[in-house]
Amino acid sequence: MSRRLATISAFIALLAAWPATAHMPQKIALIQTVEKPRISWALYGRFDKGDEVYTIKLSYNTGFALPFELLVPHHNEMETFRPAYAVVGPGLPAPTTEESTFLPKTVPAGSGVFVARNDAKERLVIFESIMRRVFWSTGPVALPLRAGDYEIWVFSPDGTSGEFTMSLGVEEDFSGGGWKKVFEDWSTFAY
Amino acid sequence: MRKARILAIVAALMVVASASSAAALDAASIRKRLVVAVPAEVNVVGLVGGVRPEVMIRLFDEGSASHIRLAAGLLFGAEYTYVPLALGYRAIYRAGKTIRPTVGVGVEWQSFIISDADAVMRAALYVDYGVRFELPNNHAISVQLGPDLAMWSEPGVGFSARAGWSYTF
Repeated sequence: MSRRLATISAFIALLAAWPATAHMPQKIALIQTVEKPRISWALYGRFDKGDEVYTIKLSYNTGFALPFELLVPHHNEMETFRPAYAVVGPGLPAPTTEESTFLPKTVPAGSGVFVARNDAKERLVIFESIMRRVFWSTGPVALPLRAGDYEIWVFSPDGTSGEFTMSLGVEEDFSGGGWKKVFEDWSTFAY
Repeated sequence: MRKARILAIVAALMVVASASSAAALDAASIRKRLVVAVPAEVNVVGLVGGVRPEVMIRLFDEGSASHIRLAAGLLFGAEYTYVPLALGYRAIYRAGKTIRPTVGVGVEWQSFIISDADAVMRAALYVDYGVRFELPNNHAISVQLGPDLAMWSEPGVGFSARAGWSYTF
């Protein structure tokens, strides 16, 4: 094998290994069901008007401790954009009166809620090294969840608009064609 | 004693003079081997754009393809400012022809300057493939494309496209 071909082959082999260290990317609709919620997901959405409420539906057949993190691209025009999220489902604490007022929807009977207001004075800044992106982050939070149906509500409490990425899950599984989605919608995931 | 001191000073000056002559000869020969370029660059992973001036020194006789390459870039994007420093090898083939293919490989020290957080720095490997279009009076237009790959502390990829003016001394 020529040296040039060996160099190219080595680069391709190394590039193919990168999905094993990254989240599975997906653009989401306003109401989105995530089929395999244990998988490490990066769910991309956008608030155009600021009054949207994204609802991400998850089901667990066994208990699981799941990390959640809400990211905003580190762009000047999104410096004041601070979306919040709530994890709603069984086994979580009942909402306080203040939380009930803050939330965009009523927590169903029998469900509790974890609320991340994203109102820290200084936000965590993270560098996502695979795609060379920088985000403001709510900071990762691990929630122990029991078996059952859950929802994540992502909303903009002050009505501002911008892009977000909801990061959740742990396991790596790119059988759904993770990198193919990235190349098909490069500008969403890479910029 | 005084004579010995004077002789020592003269000897030292002679050593300095001969070293300077040698250095001057090396500098002159290096200048004849220099290729400089100022290309504009875009990296499509993370989307940054700017310039990456480079200096290349031909390693062997005139007509040789082999060059050592040093480059320093300043690229701006919506999320960070990117400052790569590169040291590598570039082959420029077909000396004397108008269209000359190039291929390069090397290492980079990549710095990502973030406005409200500490800079992120990492080492990476790069490969580039391109072509030079030789113009009159030692000028040229050069174009390169190529990936870079960081494999250690902050793994990730990049892909750059560069085009710009070049001059061969």
